[in-house]
Amino acid sequence: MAPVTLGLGQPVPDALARARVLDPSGGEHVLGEVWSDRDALVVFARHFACAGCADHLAELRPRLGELDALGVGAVLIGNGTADQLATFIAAQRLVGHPLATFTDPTLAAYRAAELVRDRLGTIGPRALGNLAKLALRGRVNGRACGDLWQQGGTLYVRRGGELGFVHRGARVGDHAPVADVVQLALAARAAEAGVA
Amino acid sequence: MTIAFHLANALYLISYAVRDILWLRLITVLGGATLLASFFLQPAPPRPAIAWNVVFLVINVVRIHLLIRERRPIPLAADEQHLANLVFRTLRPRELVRLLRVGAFVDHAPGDRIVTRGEALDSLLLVVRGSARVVLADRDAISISDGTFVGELGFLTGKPPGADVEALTPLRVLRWPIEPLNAFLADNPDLRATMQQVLGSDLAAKLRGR
Repeated sequence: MAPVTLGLGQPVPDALARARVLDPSGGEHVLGEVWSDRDALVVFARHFACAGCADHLAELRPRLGELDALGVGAVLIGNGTADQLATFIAAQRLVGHPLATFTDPTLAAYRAAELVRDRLGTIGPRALGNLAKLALRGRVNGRACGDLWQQGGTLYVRRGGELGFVHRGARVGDHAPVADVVQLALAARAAEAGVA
Repeated sequence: MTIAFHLANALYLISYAVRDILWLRLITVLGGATLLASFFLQPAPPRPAIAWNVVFLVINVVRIHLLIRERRPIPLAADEQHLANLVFRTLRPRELVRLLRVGAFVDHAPGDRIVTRGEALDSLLLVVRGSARVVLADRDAISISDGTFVGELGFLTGKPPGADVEALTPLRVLRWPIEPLNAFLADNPDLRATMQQVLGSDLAAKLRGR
């Protein structure tokens, strides 16, 4: 596995800012646009039928309005086809929420974000343990729509492109607590407001 | 004896069918008591079975007591109710009381300096009643009143306050020491989310008012 070079407080690598992702209708977008004028929470999902990602979204969904009010644009990136993304959006009831959704079938953005791609993260013992815990919460994997071995991650990118938070998922069910990201957004706004 | 034994098992059967955990435990206790009676009615009561059933009964009775205590409505004091109406609208009274009791109500006289710019503040404050003046370095002073947070910069970023705050009227604040508050919120994710929501609304209002 290549060494991790992304660092907090450092600019987002060019390869990530310039990565091209697709929207549900297949239109191409440059990822760096999402943090050009506001802070951005960038959530990389695993494949579109991942039980852990559905669990993560269930935690994130009720807080999207709050993040938007705090001036944070939330972005979800998966890695199946654009059609699979559109199906995923409907299945996860994401329509109407302040969440931009893209897919990265070439995994270029995942590689640029130095996220893990590992078989053990999908079928290793700890991954299987997490899948069992997810199943007890009623979440089970569907048929994979995307890269089965690609793991997810979360980035918080400050307006202009500075990295404020990085979490690289090591396996299914390993995601950053949403409350930690909201705390970052709150801290950014408190510093901006110049409050007591 | 046989009738009591069957009655006890019928009660267990009913207890497994109910959804509410309190009813489940209550019916289980009734079943356990009936089962005990059936044991005592035997010519040679089986002592190990009686002992185990007594243990189960005690555990269930304690749990029933705790459940009833948790479900009992609790009256809020006037200041607590004021904060419930003004800030923590989504919290149930019991959750609210747990959160508020991590801190303490403190009274200040008009003219008291509550916060000094640049001086580390180890508490998050919430104005309960009264008004205060906030003097920022590069802007006009503003007045704050009931339901406004003070000290959120330190709570969220660890930085010292960016403003002086002085009581304009008799002022009652709720003062949460930051470390115990963070420890409490780490143990209570739902309350942490609520606290983040109310702080977010407070900050958004302050940013709009700039």
